[in-house]
Amino acid sequence: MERKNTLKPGSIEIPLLCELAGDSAHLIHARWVAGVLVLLATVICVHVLDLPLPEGPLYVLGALILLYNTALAFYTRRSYIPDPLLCITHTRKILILQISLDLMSMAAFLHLTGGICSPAKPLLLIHVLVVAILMSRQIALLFVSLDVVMIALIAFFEFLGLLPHYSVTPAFPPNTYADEIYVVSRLAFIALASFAIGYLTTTIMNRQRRRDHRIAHLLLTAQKVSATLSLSELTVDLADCAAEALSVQGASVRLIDESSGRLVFCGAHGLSQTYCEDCPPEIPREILEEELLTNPPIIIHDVDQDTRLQDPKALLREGIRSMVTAPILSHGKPLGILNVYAKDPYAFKAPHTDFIMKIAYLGATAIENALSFKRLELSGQERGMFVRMVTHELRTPVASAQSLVKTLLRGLAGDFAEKQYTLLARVDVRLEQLMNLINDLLALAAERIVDFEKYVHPVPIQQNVKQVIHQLSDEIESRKIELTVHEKETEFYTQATEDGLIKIFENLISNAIKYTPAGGKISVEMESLGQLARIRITDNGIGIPAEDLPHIWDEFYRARNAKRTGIMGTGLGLSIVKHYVDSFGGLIDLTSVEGEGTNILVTFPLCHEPPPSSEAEIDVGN
Amino acid sequence: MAKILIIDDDPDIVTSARLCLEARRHEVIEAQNGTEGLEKIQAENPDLIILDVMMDTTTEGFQLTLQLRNPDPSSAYKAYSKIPILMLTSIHSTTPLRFGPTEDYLPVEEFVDKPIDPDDLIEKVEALLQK
Repeated sequence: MERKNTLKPGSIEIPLLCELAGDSAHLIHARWVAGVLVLLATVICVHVLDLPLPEGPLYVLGALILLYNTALAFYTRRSYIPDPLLCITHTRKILILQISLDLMSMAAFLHLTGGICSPAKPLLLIHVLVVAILMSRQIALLFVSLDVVMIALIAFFEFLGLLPHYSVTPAFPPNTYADEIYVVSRLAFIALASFAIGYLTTTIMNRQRRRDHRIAHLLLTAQKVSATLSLSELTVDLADCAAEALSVQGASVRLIDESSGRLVFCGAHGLSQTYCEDCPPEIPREILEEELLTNPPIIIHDVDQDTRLQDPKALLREGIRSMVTAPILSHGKPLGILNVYAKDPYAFKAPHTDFIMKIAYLGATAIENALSFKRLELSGQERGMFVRMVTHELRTPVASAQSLVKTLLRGLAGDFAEKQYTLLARVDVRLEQLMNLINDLLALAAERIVDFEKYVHPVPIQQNVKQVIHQLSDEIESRKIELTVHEKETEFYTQATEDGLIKIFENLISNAIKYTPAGGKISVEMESLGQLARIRITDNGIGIPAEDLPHIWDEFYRARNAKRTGIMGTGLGLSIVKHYVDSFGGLIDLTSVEGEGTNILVTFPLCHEPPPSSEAEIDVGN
Repeated sequence: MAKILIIDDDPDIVTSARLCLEARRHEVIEAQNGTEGLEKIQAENPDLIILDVMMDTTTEGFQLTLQLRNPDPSSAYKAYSKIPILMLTSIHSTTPLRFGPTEDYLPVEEFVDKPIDPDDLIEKVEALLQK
């Protein structure tokens, strides 16, 4: 149940990082304009308006602004930090550096344009605004204080004569900067405006950031819960997302167990193992049913005071003082509940509960999907079990009858007249046919029911094909068929099961043998080309009529000329082959000309050879 | 001539096996399930056991094998743990739909697929008895 509290780098932080990087870039762009404006304004004021500005120092200041901006732009572009968390810290530091440099150039500019009498004083508020938008409340208020202190120091030093005063506004009496009332009242209003703007802006920004944070978490929750069909993973993800999005102590998901109807703990975040294992639902079932269906969610503002709780002490032991319970409903049907816990009383307000309901709503769809998937898996397993039982029930009597007939044919229960023997031999053939059909049906059912992904492993192709040829060698010899095998020196592997691979080649090679007249030729070529294993089986047998070719993969379909030969077949062989080849990610291509022969190409993706230990295990299995 | 115990609940399979073995002059004893099989093992001390996998339960044959081959020195079947076993398998395939455990750890000497092919059975029985 216990999971890491921090989110993986690269998830929720990415939007924040993009925002910070964007802010930093905007600031640099704005500074180009500011630097140029300082230079231009100086030229215009001095040479057009004839104002008594300190021209030289202002040019130097404008040039300095452009210079440090060049350095910042260059540095920002060059520095690349792959870890998003480190990158965020780094970008924040750069932003603080930019704001500090701006503060100093602002101080110089104000001083050069008249100190406390400067007409440029409102620019100070722009700096305050930028800081309040970009920084957290503490840092923003710190910079606002610095802004105010800076203008106060300039005014004070000019007042004391420690700094020269530049009178740039001819309308102002030249001694205005030395007037105590003027200086103090100006400073007081500047401070008041700065702090008010700083405070209000950071409040709005904080609210906005919290909203962004929740939306980002909501998106992340949607992504996470739709990426899995495992109920346990899903519920833990849901609890994680709810707790992290609201930055609260914990969250848990309880789902209704279909068989017992009880609410069972499925996923939790920030709760102790003991709590998860022992604790019954926080709120009794009757209250949950009544309140959650009529007026969700249930808010427990103070765990210590609320009488609806079953075991408030257990919650207090976990350090929980308030909680919200939201229903997880799918099409109006309750699937379970989402609980979110906080360590402070009265921690949940309307935006929080609304958000919790949204998370529960997101979770409901995903949980419903996971439950359906689980039911589907179970029904698949049940079907598999049914096929097993049916197959066994079918095979047992046929196998017993075959055993008896074979014993009789072997003369172990006395001799027969020739006609009796012939008839009995025909019974044996028919039973064999029936058994083949049962086996083929089982193979086909197995392919459909069994999730082969669980069983595949690197299987040597050449070894298995040769094993099939070896098994069929009696038949090949008795039919006087010339079989040639071309193989590679080194073995190659594909992700499959031995049985599946053997089934594929057993069917293909035995078909080639069956439908190639005595004395015919069959060739089996195996090679690995690039990332593919290619196995080509060619015969000069009876071939397949063109009109039958489109149907050869259909179940129970047998080509007309094959039926006419009187050779036994269930019509399932190629269907089985196709299904197995598909399951192992392979391709099969069949070309044939009636009367000339058939050419089959099977391709599998190659995989790495298994490590020696696992190969040994497979050998034991064989 | 050897004493062979066939443990199988299918009388037709038992008859087939019995006919094959008796033709080779072996003495054949029967048991219909695992419990009776274990009793007969102790009572008759056969030279070879032919054992079916699925009887009253789907893995009864496997269970009997594991009980007989139990390496525990205090096992009641310690004296019989070396008797060779020939297992009659219903589905000789390692598809995931097979019954019971895999052959990897099944301590039996030989397998015969059902239906019984008399020549195959006799050949495997003779080979095991010669060991």
